[in-house]
Amino acid sequence: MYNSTTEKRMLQNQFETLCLGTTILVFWPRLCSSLTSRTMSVKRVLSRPDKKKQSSLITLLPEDVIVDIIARVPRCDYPTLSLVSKHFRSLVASPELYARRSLLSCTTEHRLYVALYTNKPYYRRLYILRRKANGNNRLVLIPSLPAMPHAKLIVAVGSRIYMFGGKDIRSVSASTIDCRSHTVQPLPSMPVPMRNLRADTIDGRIYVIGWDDDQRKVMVVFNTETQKWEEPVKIRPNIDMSHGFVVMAGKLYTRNYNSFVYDPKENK
Amino acid sequence: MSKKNIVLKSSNGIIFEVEEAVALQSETIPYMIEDDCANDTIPLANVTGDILALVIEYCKKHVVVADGDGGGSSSSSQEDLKNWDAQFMNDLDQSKIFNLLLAADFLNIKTLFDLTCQFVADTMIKGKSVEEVRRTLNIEKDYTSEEEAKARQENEWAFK
Repeated sequence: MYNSTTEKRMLQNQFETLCLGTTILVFWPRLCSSLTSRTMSVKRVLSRPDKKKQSSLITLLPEDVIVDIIARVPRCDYPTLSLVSKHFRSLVASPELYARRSLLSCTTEHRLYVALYTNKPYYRRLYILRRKANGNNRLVLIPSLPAMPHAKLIVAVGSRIYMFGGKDIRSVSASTIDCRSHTVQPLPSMPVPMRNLRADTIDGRIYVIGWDDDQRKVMVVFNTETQKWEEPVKIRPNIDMSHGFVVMAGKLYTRNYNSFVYDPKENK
Repeated sequence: MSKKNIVLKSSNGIIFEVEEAVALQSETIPYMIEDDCANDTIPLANVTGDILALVIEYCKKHVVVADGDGGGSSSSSQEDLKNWDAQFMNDLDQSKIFNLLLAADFLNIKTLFDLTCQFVADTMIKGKSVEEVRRTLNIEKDYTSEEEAKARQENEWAFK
């Protein structure tokens, strides 16, 4: 089903990529776990000595210790590891593992997500680039994520992917994908229905620009920290953003016959 | 400063006397001293004698470098220590490795815990096939054929 000819054909024609820096901030309980819980976890394990001879030693370790081991395995081994057993599969998919990895590594982990179009129906599905130890790369469908209408706007911030709008031009739907668990969560609806959406981010805020019902340009602002919409920004009628805009050094630039700049700090 | 010794007792009753600096690499032992678990002997009900001997061997080796924090630990001694760690782990069988991991977790010796986890990750999982990991870690396949096929499909090439 993933390698349908339709999708293959579309791969050659259209794709868009999202480079995502997964800065994960969840605090792993190990560092603040109490002595009592550690002691208990060891006792829990040692109270099952009869099983030890036949069964696997690693599965007798406390769950958080197994997570600690897996967190130290290169991520390209995870697909293999998830086939070893159901237990390993659930650990590889657990948010705890990603929290642990983010604490262990000094650098941000990058992942490449690719949204591929299918033309029947005209939807997009998200794929992730998996790198193998032998240097081969492969694009793998993320089955837990639903198909997205073509018109949906996709923006990556931190360890999340934000999606705005939808199939209908009056759609005010907004949702987010948590890339640690690959689950979708709803967000507050967009303040106004908009179409021809374009967006970029400055300092954790997503600036979404489009046209409202009365053909007026609107810019709405989503704060990814508070996960709320802020007051829409008025755009003067003579500023044309139909050719897109760029963000540089915390400001938003656009041009048609004239050039314009928007500075969020001064709100003008 | 006069050297103070601490007496540790393993779960099977074997007594070890070590310098305080050696024992205090464990973040658990100070709590046990504070709790007045023992004025003279600290009982470690979760650690057997052979594993405790390994823990102490590791801590003795590492205490010297931890002492010389005023630039005393040269890069060569760091290098030596790394080689020593590698040799230390290589000499252990799987059962000892996992028991050492449990002991490092219980005694909260961060460097030993990190070393052991990394060793398990590198030697028993990294770069191995599904069957090799199952064999090495003695894990039984609990997937049915259909479930395994489905799980494999999720990792298949999306495009050939």
